[in-house]
Amino acid sequence: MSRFDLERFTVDTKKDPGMMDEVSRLEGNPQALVRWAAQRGYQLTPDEAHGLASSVSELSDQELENVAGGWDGTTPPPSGGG
Amino acid sequence: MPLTCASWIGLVRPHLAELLVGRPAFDRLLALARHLPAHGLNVIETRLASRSTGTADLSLRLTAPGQAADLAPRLLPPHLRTFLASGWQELGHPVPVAAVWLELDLGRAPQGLPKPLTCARLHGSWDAQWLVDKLLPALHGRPLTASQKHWLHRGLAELPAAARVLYAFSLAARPGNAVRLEICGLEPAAMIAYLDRWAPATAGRQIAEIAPLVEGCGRYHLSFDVEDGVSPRLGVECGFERLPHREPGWRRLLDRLVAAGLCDAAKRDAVLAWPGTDSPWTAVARWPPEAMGLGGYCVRCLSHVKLVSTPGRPPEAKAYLIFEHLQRPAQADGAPTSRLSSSAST
Repeated sequence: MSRFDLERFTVDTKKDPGMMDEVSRLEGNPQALVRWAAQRGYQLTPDEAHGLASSVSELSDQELENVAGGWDGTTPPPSGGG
Repeated sequence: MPLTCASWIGLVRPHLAELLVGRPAFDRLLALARHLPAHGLNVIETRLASRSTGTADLSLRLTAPGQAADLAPRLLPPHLRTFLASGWQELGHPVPVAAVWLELDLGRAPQGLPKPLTCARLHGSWDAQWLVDKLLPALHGRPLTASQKHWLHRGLAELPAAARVLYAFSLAARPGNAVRLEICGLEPAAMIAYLDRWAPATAGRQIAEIAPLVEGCGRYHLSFDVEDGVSPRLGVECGFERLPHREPGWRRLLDRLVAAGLCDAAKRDAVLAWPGTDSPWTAVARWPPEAMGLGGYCVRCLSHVKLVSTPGRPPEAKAYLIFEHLQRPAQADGAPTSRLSSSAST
Protein backbone atom coordinates (compact mmCIF):
# COMPACT_ATOMS: atom_id res chain seq x y z
CA MET A 1 0.00 0.00 0.00
CA SER A 2 1.32 3.47 -0.77
CA ARG A 3 2.03 5.80 2.10
CA PHE A 4 -1.04 7.81 1.05
CA ASP A 5 -3.30 4.74 1.12
CA LEU A 6 -1.83 3.64 4.42
CA GLU A 7 -2.64 7.03 5.85
CA ARG A 8 -6.16 6.75 4.46
CA PHE A 9 -6.56 3.37 6.13
CA THR A 10 -5.45 4.62 9.55
CA VAL A 11 -7.53 7.79 9.30
CA ASP A 12 -10.64 5.89 8.19
CA THR A 13 -10.19 3.33 10.93
CA LYS A 14 -9.72 5.90 13.67
CA LYS A 15 -12.82 7.78 12.48
CA ASP A 16 -15.03 4.70 12.64
CA PRO A 17 -15.44 3.19 16.11
CA GLY A 18 -16.69 -0.06 14.57
CA MET A 19 -13.60 -0.41 12.43
CA MET A 20 -11.38 0.53 15.36
CA ASP A 21 -13.01 -2.12 17.55
CA GLU A 22 -12.46 -4.71 14.86
CA VAL A 23 -8.82 -3.72 14.36
CA SER A 24 -8.27 -3.75 18.12
CA ARG A 25 -9.59 -7.29 18.19
CA LEU A 26 -6.95 -8.18 15.62
CA GLU A 27 -4.08 -6.64 17.58
CA GLY A 28 -1.13 -9.00 17.44
CA ASN A 29 -2.57 -10.89 14.46
CA PRO A 30 -1.22 -9.33 11.25
CA GLN A 31 -2.43 -12.06 8.88
CA ALA A 32 -5.99 -11.57 10.05
CA LEU A 33 -5.61 -7.81 9.69
CA VAL A 34 -4.43 -8.21 6.07
CA ARG A 35 -7.52 -10.32 5.27
CA TRP A 36 -9.90 -8.02 7.12
CA ALA A 37 -8.51 -4.89 5.45
CA ALA A 38 -8.59 -6.51 2.01
CA GLN A 39 -12.30 -7.23 2.42
CA ARG A 40 -12.78 -3.47 2.85
CA GLY A 41 -10.62 -2.44 -0.09
CA TYR A 42 -7.36 -1.71 1.70
CA GLN A 43 -4.41 -3.71 0.45
CA LEU A 44 -1.99 -3.90 3.36
CA THR A 45 1.42 -5.48 2.86
CA PRO A 46 2.45 -8.04 5.49
CA ASP A 47 4.96 -5.52 6.87
CA GLU A 48 2.34 -2.82 7.18
CA ALA A 49 -0.11 -5.18 8.79
CA HIS A 50 2.50 -6.34 11.22
CA GLY A 51 3.40 -2.79 12.15
CA LEU A 52 -0.22 -1.76 12.61
CA ALA A 53 -1.29 -4.91 14.40
CA SER A 54 1.50 -4.54 16.92
CA SER A 55 0.57 -1.06 18.00
CA VAL A 56 -3.20 -0.72 17.99
CA SER A 57 -3.68 0.04 21.65
CA GLU A 58 -2.27 3.09 23.35
CA LEU A 59 0.35 2.82 26.04
CA SER A 60 -0.70 3.61 29.56
CA ASP A 61 1.02 6.26 31.64
CA GLN A 62 2.36 3.49 33.82
CA GLU A 63 3.89 1.75 30.82
CA LEU A 64 5.47 4.98 29.68
CA GLU A 65 6.88 5.64 33.11
CA ASN A 66 8.25 2.12 33.29
CA VAL A 67 10.12 2.76 30.08
CA ALA A 68 11.80 5.29 31.99
CA GLY A 69 14.85 4.17 30.45
CA GLY A 70 14.25 7.20 32.26
CA TRP A 71 14.88 5.79 35.59
CA ASP A 72 15.23 2.20 34.49
CA GLY A 73 12.72 1.29 37.10
CA THR A 74 15.12 2.65 39.67
CA THR A 75 17.81 4.56 37.89
CA PRO A 76 18.00 7.31 35.30
CA PRO A 77 20.50 7.49 32.47
CA PRO A 78 23.86 8.98 33.32
CA SER A 79 24.69 12.61 32.67
CA GLY A 80 28.00 12.72 30.92
CA GLY A 81 27.71 16.28 29.75
CA GLY A 82 28.98 18.90 32.07
CA MET B 1 17.36 3.07 3.75
CA PRO B 2 18.72 1.01 6.67
CA LEU B 3 17.02 1.32 10.02
CA THR B 4 19.26 3.34 12.34
CA CYS B 5 18.89 5.65 15.28
CA ALA B 6 18.40 8.43 12.71
CA SER B 7 15.10 6.81 11.71
CA TRP B 8 13.73 7.53 15.18
CA ILE B 9 15.27 10.98 15.45
CA GLY B 10 13.48 11.91 12.25
CA LEU B 11 10.24 10.65 13.76
CA VAL B 12 10.52 12.63 16.99
CA ARG B 13 11.69 15.82 15.28
CA PRO B 14 8.30 17.61 15.47
CA HIS B 15 8.32 17.14 19.25
CA LEU B 16 11.83 18.50 19.62
CA ALA B 17 11.44 22.26 19.76
CA GLU B 18 14.00 24.18 17.76
CA LEU B 19 14.95 26.24 20.77
CA LEU B 20 16.03 23.01 22.49
CA VAL B 21 17.87 21.62 19.49
CA GLY B 22 18.54 24.24 16.83
CA ARG B 23 18.62 23.40 13.14
CA PRO B 24 22.42 23.04 12.79
CA ALA B 25 22.55 20.91 15.97
CA PHE B 26 19.67 18.77 14.75
CA ASP B 27 21.36 18.21 11.39
CA ARG B 28 24.52 17.09 13.23
CA LEU B 29 22.48 14.86 15.51
CA LEU B 30 20.83 13.25 12.51
CA ALA B 31 24.12 12.72 10.69
CA LEU B 32 25.66 11.13 13.78
CA ALA B 33 22.61 8.95 14.43
CA ARG B 34 23.02 7.31 11.00
CA HIS B 35 26.07 5.60 12.51
CA LEU B 36 24.20 4.36 15.57
CA PRO B 37 21.99 1.30 16.04
CA ALA B 38 18.23 1.64 15.89
CA HIS B 39 17.59 -0.55 18.89
CA GLY B 40 18.24 0.85 22.30
CA LEU B 41 17.58 3.73 24.55
CA ASN B 42 18.80 7.16 23.49
CA VAL B 43 19.06 10.41 25.38
CA ILE B 44 19.33 13.93 24.03
CA GLU B 45 21.00 16.40 26.37
CA THR B 46 19.86 19.99 25.96
CA ARG B 47 20.94 23.15 27.76
CA LEU B 48 18.21 25.21 29.37
CA ALA B 49 19.75 28.67 29.72
CA SER B 50 18.43 31.41 27.46
CA ARG B 51 21.91 32.11 26.13
CA SER B 52 22.38 28.51 24.95
CA THR B 53 21.52 28.33 21.29
CA GLY B 54 19.95 24.95 20.87
CA THR B 55 23.03 22.74 21.03
CA ALA B 56 22.60 19.08 21.97
CA ASP B 57 24.50 15.91 22.75
CA LEU B 58 23.38 12.32 22.21
CA SER B 59 23.84 9.18 24.33
CA LEU B 60 22.96 5.58 23.72
CA ARG B 61 22.78 2.57 25.96
CA LEU B 62 24.31 -0.78 25.05
CA THR B 63 22.93 -3.61 27.14
CA ALA B 64 24.46 -6.45 25.17
CA PRO B 65 27.77 -6.82 23.36
CA GLY B 66 25.97 -7.58 20.09
CA GLN B 67 24.60 -4.06 19.99
CA ALA B 68 28.10 -2.70 19.62
CA ALA B 69 28.42 -4.60 16.35
CA ASP B 70 25.91 -2.18 14.82
CA LEU B 71 28.09 0.79 15.69
CA ALA B 72 30.28 2.32 13.06
CA PRO B 73 33.78 1.07 13.99
CA ARG B 74 35.23 4.50 13.40
CA LEU B 75 33.22 5.85 16.30
CA LEU B 76 35.22 3.81 18.76
CA PRO B 77 38.86 4.06 19.79
CA PRO B 78 40.69 0.69 19.67
CA HIS B 79 40.47 -0.03 23.40
CA LEU B 80 36.70 0.43 23.34
CA ARG B 81 36.30 -1.71 20.27
CA THR B 82 38.07 -4.52 22.11
CA PHE B 83 36.18 -3.89 25.32
CA LEU B 84 32.78 -3.95 23.66
CA ALA B 85 33.56 -6.80 21.29
CA SER B 86 34.65 -8.99 24.19
CA GLY B 87 31.36 -8.37 25.91
CA TRP B 88 33.25 -6.65 28.69
CA GLN B 89 34.36 -10.13 29.78
CA GLU B 90 37.77 -8.80 30.74
CA LEU B 91 36.12 -7.39 33.83
CA GLY B 92 35.53 -10.80 35.34
CA HIS B 93 32.53 -13.04 35.77
CA PRO B 94 29.81 -12.40 36.69
CA VAL B 95 30.34 -8.86 35.45
CA PRO B 96 28.70 -6.28 37.70
CA VAL B 97 28.00 -4.05 34.70
CA ALA B 98 24.38 -3.88 33.56
CA ALA B 99 24.98 -1.63 30.58
CA VAL B 100 27.54 0.55 28.87
CA TRP B 101 26.60 4.03 27.77
CA LEU B 102 28.28 5.95 24.97
CA GLU B 103 27.88 9.69 25.15
CA LEU B 104 28.66 11.75 22.10
CA ASP B 105 29.47 15.38 22.76
CA LEU B 106 28.43 17.09 19.56
CA GLY B 107 29.06 20.52 21.01
CA ARG B 108 32.70 19.66 21.62
CA ALA B 109 33.33 18.18 18.18
CA PRO B 110 32.29 20.72 15.59
CA GLN B 111 33.46 18.50 12.72
CA GLY B 112 33.22 14.79 12.05
CA LEU B 113 32.23 12.05 14.45
CA PRO B 114 32.97 12.73 18.10
CA LYS B 115 34.78 10.17 20.23
CA PRO B 116 32.38 8.82 22.84
CA LEU B 117 32.57 9.24 26.56
CA THR B 118 32.01 5.85 28.12
CA CYS B 119 30.08 4.99 31.19
CA ALA B 120 29.30 1.70 32.92
CA ARG B 121 26.08 1.20 34.83
CA LEU B 122 27.00 -0.85 37.90
CA HIS B 123 24.88 -3.44 39.60
CA GLY B 124 25.42 -6.35 41.93
CA SER B 125 28.42 -6.58 44.17
CA TRP B 126 31.90 -5.26 43.44
CA ASP B 127 34.67 -3.66 45.45
CA ALA B 128 36.57 -0.39 45.22
CA GLN B 129 39.75 -2.11 44.04
CA TRP B 130 37.93 -3.63 41.06
CA LEU B 131 36.36 -0.29 40.16
CA VAL B 132 39.64 1.61 40.35
CA ASP B 133 42.02 -0.99 38.94
CA LYS B 134 39.85 -2.80 36.40
CA LEU B 135 36.66 -1.12 35.30
CA LEU B 136 37.80 2.48 35.01
CA PRO B 137 41.08 1.65 33.21
CA ALA B 138 39.14 -0.57 30.78
CA LEU B 139 36.79 2.31 29.96
CA HIS B 140 39.61 4.85 29.99
CA GLY B 141 42.05 2.95 27.80
CA ARG B 142 44.91 3.44 30.26
CA PRO B 143 45.65 2.97 33.96
CA LEU B 144 44.56 5.65 36.36
CA THR B 145 47.15 7.89 37.98
CA ALA B 146 48.19 7.46 41.60
CA SER B 147 46.37 10.68 42.44
CA GLN B 148 43.15 9.50 40.78
CA LYS B 149 43.31 6.21 42.65
CA HIS B 150 43.88 8.01 45.93
CA TRP B 151 40.92 10.35 45.55
CA LEU B 152 38.60 7.67 44.22
CA HIS B 153 39.39 5.41 47.16
CA ARG B 154 38.79 8.34 49.52
CA GLY B 155 35.43 9.07 47.97
CA LEU B 156 34.38 5.43 47.94
CA ALA B 157 35.47 4.84 51.52
CA GLU B 158 33.38 7.76 52.76
CA LEU B 159 30.18 6.71 51.03
CA PRO B 160 27.34 6.36 53.53
CA ALA B 161 25.53 3.03 53.70
CA ALA B 162 22.49 4.50 51.95
CA ALA B 163 24.50 5.57 48.92
CA ARG B 164 25.99 3.59 46.07
CA VAL B 165 27.90 4.20 42.88
CA LEU B 166 25.54 3.86 39.98
CA TYR B 167 27.70 4.98 37.06
CA ALA B 168 31.45 5.07 36.46
CA PHE B 169 32.71 7.18 33.56
CA SER B 170 35.81 7.75 31.55
CA LEU B 171 35.96 11.29 30.19
CA ALA B 172 39.04 10.45 28.10
CA ALA B 173 37.26 11.70 24.99
CA ARG B 174 37.59 15.23 26.39
CA PRO B 175 40.74 17.20 26.99
CA GLY B 176 42.36 16.11 30.24
CA ASN B 177 42.36 12.77 31.96
CA ALA B 178 39.27 12.81 34.16
CA VAL B 179 37.07 9.97 35.33
CA ARG B 180 33.69 10.46 36.96
CA LEU B 181 31.53 8.74 39.54
CA GLU B 182 27.79 9.21 39.81
CA ILE B 183 26.31 8.39 43.20
CA CYS B 184 22.67 7.69 44.03
CA GLY B 185 20.91 7.50 47.37
CA LEU B 186 21.89 10.90 48.79
CA GLU B 187 19.57 13.87 49.19
CA PRO B 188 21.27 17.28 48.97
CA ALA B 189 21.85 17.59 52.75
CA ALA B 190 23.51 14.17 52.75
CA MET B 191 25.58 15.12 49.68
CA ILE B 192 26.93 18.12 51.56
CA ALA B 193 27.80 16.02 54.62
CA TYR B 194 29.44 13.40 52.39
CA LEU B 195 31.57 15.92 50.48
CA ASP B 196 32.51 17.79 53.65
CA ARG B 197 34.14 14.62 54.96
CA TRP B 198 36.66 14.23 52.16
CA ALA B 199 36.34 16.60 49.19
CA PRO B 200 37.67 20.17 48.80
CA ALA B 201 36.05 22.66 51.17
CA THR B 202 34.19 24.44 48.37
CA ALA B 203 32.33 21.28 47.28
CA GLY B 204 29.78 21.22 50.09
CA ARG B 205 29.10 24.94 49.63
CA GLN B 206 28.48 24.41 45.93
CA ILE B 207 25.84 21.78 46.66
CA ALA B 208 24.33 24.03 49.34
CA GLU B 209 23.90 26.70 46.68
CA ILE B 210 22.05 24.28 44.40
CA ALA B 211 19.96 22.59 47.10
CA PRO B 212 17.10 25.13 47.26
CA LEU B 213 16.67 24.88 43.50
CA VAL B 214 16.17 21.13 43.53
CA GLU B 215 14.16 20.88 46.73
CA GLY B 216 11.27 18.41 46.69
CA CYS B 217 12.53 16.19 43.89
CA GLY B 218 11.86 12.49 44.03
CA ARG B 219 15.38 11.33 43.21
CA TYR B 220 18.85 12.75 43.30
CA HIS B 221 22.28 11.83 42.03
CA LEU B 222 25.63 13.46 42.74
CA SER B 223 28.43 13.35 40.19
CA PHE B 224 32.03 14.45 40.57
CA ASP B 225 35.14 14.21 38.40
CA VAL B 226 38.57 13.08 39.52
CA GLU B 227 41.69 14.10 37.66
CA ASP B 228 44.68 15.32 39.72
CA GLY B 229 42.23 15.79 42.57
CA VAL B 230 38.48 16.20 42.86
CA SER B 231 37.38 18.62 40.18
CA PRO B 232 35.54 21.73 41.36
CA ARG B 233 32.88 20.96 38.75
CA LEU B 234 30.04 19.07 40.44
CA GLY B 235 26.72 17.82 39.13
CA VAL B 236 23.40 17.23 40.83
CA GLU B 237 20.87 15.21 38.82
CA CYS B 238 17.27 15.23 39.92
CA GLY B 239 13.84 14.22 38.74
CA PHE B 240 10.70 12.26 39.39
CA GLU B 241 9.41 8.81 38.65
CA ARG B 242 6.19 10.00 37.05
CA LEU B 243 5.68 11.92 33.83
CA PRO B 244 5.17 15.69 34.00
CA HIS B 245 1.42 15.53 33.39
CA ARG B 246 1.08 13.31 36.48
CA GLU B 247 3.80 14.93 38.56
CA PRO B 248 3.55 18.69 39.21
CA GLY B 249 7.00 18.63 40.79
CA TRP B 250 8.58 18.78 37.32
CA ARG B 251 6.92 22.10 36.66
CA ARG B 252 7.82 23.45 40.10
CA LEU B 253 11.45 22.43 39.58
CA LEU B 254 11.67 24.10 36.19
CA ASP B 255 9.78 27.18 37.43
CA ARG B 256 12.42 27.62 40.12
CA LEU B 257 15.15 27.38 37.50
CA VAL B 258 13.36 29.97 35.36
CA ALA B 259 13.02 32.29 38.38
CA ALA B 260 16.73 31.85 39.10
CA GLY B 261 17.59 32.81 35.53
CA LEU B 262 18.98 29.34 34.76
CA CYS B 263 16.24 28.21 32.37
CA ASP B 264 14.46 29.94 29.55
CA ALA B 265 10.68 29.90 30.08
CA ALA B 266 9.99 28.73 26.54
CA LYS B 267 12.53 25.93 26.96
CA ARG B 268 10.78 24.89 30.18
CA ASP B 269 7.54 24.56 28.25
CA ALA B 270 9.21 22.65 25.45
CA VAL B 271 10.81 20.21 27.88
CA LEU B 272 7.50 19.60 29.66
CA ALA B 273 5.83 18.99 26.30
CA TRP B 274 8.37 16.39 25.19
CA PRO B 275 6.91 13.18 26.74
CA GLY B 276 4.53 11.14 24.61
CA THR B 277 4.29 8.28 22.16
CA ASP B 278 4.20 7.83 18.40
CA SER B 279 3.09 4.69 16.60
CA PRO B 280 2.15 3.77 13.04
CA TRP B 281 -1.39 4.70 14.02
CA THR B 282 -0.65 8.15 15.38
CA ALA B 283 2.13 9.14 13.00
CA VAL B 284 1.73 7.03 9.89
CA ALA B 285 3.05 9.76 7.61
CA ARG B 286 6.24 10.12 9.66
CA TRP B 287 6.74 6.54 10.78
CA PRO B 288 10.01 5.38 9.17
CA PRO B 289 9.13 3.18 6.16
CA GLU B 290 12.10 0.98 7.05
CA ALA B 291 10.48 0.37 10.46
CA MET B 292 6.96 -0.30 9.24
CA GLY B 293 7.31 -4.03 9.75
CA LEU B 294 8.42 -3.51 13.33
CA GLY B 295 5.46 -1.46 14.38
CA GLY B 296 5.50 -0.85 18.08
CA TYR B 297 5.91 2.55 19.64
CA CYS B 298 8.46 5.32 19.78
CA VAL B 299 8.33 6.57 23.32
CA ARG B 300 9.52 9.96 24.56
CA CYS B 301 10.18 10.53 28.26
CA LEU B 302 11.70 13.24 30.38
CA SER B 303 14.56 11.60 32.24
CA HIS B 304 16.01 14.19 34.56
CA VAL B 305 17.38 17.68 35.02
CA LYS B 306 21.00 18.29 35.89
CA LEU B 307 22.58 21.30 37.55
CA VAL B 308 26.30 21.69 37.04
CA SER B 309 28.11 23.81 39.59
CA THR B 310 31.45 25.49 39.00
CA PRO B 311 32.82 27.87 41.67
CA GLY B 312 32.37 31.53 40.80
CA ARG B 313 29.79 30.86 38.09
CA PRO B 314 26.04 30.40 38.14
CA PRO B 315 24.95 26.77 37.91
CA GLU B 316 24.23 25.44 34.42
CA ALA B 317 20.90 23.64 33.93
CA LYS B 318 20.37 20.82 31.43
CA ALA B 319 17.50 18.50 30.62
CA TYR B 320 17.74 14.90 29.40
CA LEU B 321 15.16 13.75 26.87
CA ILE B 322 14.73 10.05 26.24
CA PHE B 323 13.48 8.37 23.11
CA GLU B 324 13.27 4.66 22.47
CA HIS B 325 11.52 2.25 20.16
CA LEU B 326 9.55 -0.36 22.08
CA GLN B 327 7.40 -3.30 21.27
CA ARG B 328 4.84 -5.23 23.21
CA PRO B 329 5.65 -8.91 23.09
CA ALA B 330 2.77 -10.94 21.66
CA GLN B 331 1.48 -13.91 23.59
CA ALA B 332 1.38 -17.35 22.03
CA ASP B 333 -2.31 -16.96 21.16
CA GLY B 334 -1.58 -13.76 19.29
CA ALA B 335 -2.99 -11.41 21.90
CA PRO B 336 -0.65 -8.73 23.14
CA THR B 337 0.49 -8.76 26.72
CA SER B 338 0.19 -5.66 28.80
CA ARG B 339 3.84 -5.62 29.69
CA LEU B 340 6.13 -3.58 27.50
CA SER B 341 9.49 -4.85 26.49
CA SER B 342 12.17 -2.66 25.08
CA SER B 343 13.68 -3.72 21.79
CA ALA B 344 16.92 -3.60 23.76
CA SER B 345 16.28 -5.35 27.02
CA THR B 346 17.79 -3.96 30.16
